[in-house]
Amino acid sequence: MVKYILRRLLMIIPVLLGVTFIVFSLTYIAPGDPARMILPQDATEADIAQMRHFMGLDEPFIKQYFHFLFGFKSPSDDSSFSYKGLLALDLGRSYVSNRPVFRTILERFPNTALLSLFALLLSVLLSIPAGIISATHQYSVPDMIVSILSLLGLSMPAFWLGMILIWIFSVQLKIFPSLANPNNLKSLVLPVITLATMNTAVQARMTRSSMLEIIRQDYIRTARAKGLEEKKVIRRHALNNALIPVVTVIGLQVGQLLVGAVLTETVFSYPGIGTIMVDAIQRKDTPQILASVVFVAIVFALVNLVVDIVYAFIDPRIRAQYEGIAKIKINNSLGKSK
Amino acid sequence: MESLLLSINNLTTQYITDNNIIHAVNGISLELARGGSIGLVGESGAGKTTTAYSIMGLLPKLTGKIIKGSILFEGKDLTLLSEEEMRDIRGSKISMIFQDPMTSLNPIITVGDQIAEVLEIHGTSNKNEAQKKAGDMLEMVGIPRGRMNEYPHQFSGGMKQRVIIAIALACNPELLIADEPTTALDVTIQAQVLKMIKELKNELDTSLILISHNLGVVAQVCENVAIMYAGRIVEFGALRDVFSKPLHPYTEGLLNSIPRIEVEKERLIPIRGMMPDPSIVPSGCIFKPRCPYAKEECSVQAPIVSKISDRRVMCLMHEGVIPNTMGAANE
Ligand SMILES: Nc1ncnc2c1ncn2[C@@H]1O[C@H](COP(=O)(O)OP(=O)(O)O)[C@@H](O)[C@H]1O
Ligand SMILES: [Mg+2]
Repeated sequence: MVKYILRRLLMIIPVLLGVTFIVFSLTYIAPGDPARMILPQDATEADIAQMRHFMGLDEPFIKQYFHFLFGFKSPSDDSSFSYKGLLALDLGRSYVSNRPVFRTILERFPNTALLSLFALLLSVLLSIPAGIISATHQYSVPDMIVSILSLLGLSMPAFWLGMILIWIFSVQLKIFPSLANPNNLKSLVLPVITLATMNTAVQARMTRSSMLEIIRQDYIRTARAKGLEEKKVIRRHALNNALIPVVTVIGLQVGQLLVGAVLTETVFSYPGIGTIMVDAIQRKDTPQILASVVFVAIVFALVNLVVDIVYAFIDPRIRAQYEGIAKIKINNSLGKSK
Repeated sequence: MESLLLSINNLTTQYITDNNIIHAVNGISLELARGGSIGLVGESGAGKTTTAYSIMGLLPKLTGKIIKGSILFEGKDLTLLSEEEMRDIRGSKISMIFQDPMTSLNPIITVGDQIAEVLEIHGTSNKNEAQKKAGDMLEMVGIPRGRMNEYPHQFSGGMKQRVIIAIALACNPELLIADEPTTALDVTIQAQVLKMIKELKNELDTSLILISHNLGVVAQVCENVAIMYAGRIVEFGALRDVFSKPLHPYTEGLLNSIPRIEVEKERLIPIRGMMPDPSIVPSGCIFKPRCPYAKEECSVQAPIVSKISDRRVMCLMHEGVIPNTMGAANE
């Protein structure tokens, strides 16, 4: 198991390289010149050219990508354009704020994490019971209510929902503030609802369909034939099995959650990774954009690793596979040493 | 005189779906003495499993309904019991083994815990004691108790079926219903599992209803046999009587389709035709379309149960309505 986790951690590296290459290429070909944006309006072409040289922007694409990975030493005296590269987790300073980009991200990330965790918690607490009730009472009134609500939830884009919520609860009813910040729990209510809605809907539908499939399984019949109470049949025999696919979906949704956070943070002017990204893109702040994307990709990959581990805890068949892999590896290495 | 454990009277069970009514079991009666064994035999779709579910109270809640009749078990009518009362009986006094062992165990619970669970449901309050008894049960079905903490995927099909037998017998039930317990298994394993069921039945003094589409399987285990066709028991009698002289044309057809080593291959005659649509109630005899002895009367008059010494049969030939040409052909 430990070996498996290490292997998976190593596998994150090529994924990250791929992601960074794509993002790097996109920022490279995107219009706009960071040098021009940094310099005052009246800067001459020569000033700009020199600035590009200092920033390393006059180098060919591949060389710039190598700088991005392995570091860049600026030819200017100003060391603020130098950095040690992604492998040293240093992508330099923001062109706009002149602060190390990862520092800003690490400062702001807890805010995004807080928002996302609340949203995840809310969606799990709502969706799983709703899905279970829906499945165990198929075609009943509660089932129909859950089905309709999750369809509604699915069809509402986060930014639109956020604005509607602001209009109702901030502008009209004046119950919740329209600007959110992490130090005011009350101000988090609307963004959390905004962010959680889509996930709740997806998870509720997933739980329902997974549960419907599981309660038709033969081993559920075996449990009933033992004389087990229906409630316990569901809790002990159906639930864990039904949650296996739901866990996957939740893992994938963390990606969704981060995307949703970008939109939600923008709507509620919340100081998280999302607003960093949007600001950085608007100002062509390349180091900040790259750092944000890399960071989000790392978080996403780690979360999915956690999901796979959770999986193995629920399902002994998957655990056996991992142990099988480990055993084969050990056998191979033993074979070689002989 | 041996006492009666189970007495099914005129049981009628239907599945009521959106657009039609499936007449799965149509007024069957069956008696099982304490310690006795009945083989319930018929083609797929005959209503065997539905009969078992009716006894167990495991019919699908929304669609399956017992329309008529009674199921007396130790004198109590199971059809009148509440869900709670039924739960107390299920798994402790009446147990059931299902057809497909590959899917009948929960994949994410150890086999030991799955056996212990039924003990805990029915009164073994002490967890350690339940675990110990679960280990005993595993050994009883020939699996070392050291494998208690393993998961179903670590066992072969035959071993899974043994685990399921251990679950079914853990509370020492009065009645065991085994629904095609060996159909999904390899032929070699089939014989082992059947032998084990037979031995444990005798050892624990459990009564048995063995369901199979294969008369040959039932012949190895049961004293009595009930032949089921389209939701009816068309023939009932002691196994050797039925084997030596079938009274119903359908039984004869089933016997002819059992492969037997001593008989040459050409004698293997499958029964022609198919089971009728269970949503249509026919006039006359339900077996008529497939019956080689049928006469015109058979499509008009439905046969009733005729008693012939201690055997029962549903056929107009035995009511004297049409001549019995079957016996003649045999002799
Ligand atoms: N849940 C169900 N809903 C509707 N019809 C069913 C259901 N289960 C079984 N049936 C029908 O009832 C009849 C008897 O089925 P079953 O008792 O399973 O037969 P057997 O066990 O002898 O093969 C068949 O026609 C079958 O299609
Ligand atoms: Mg069946």
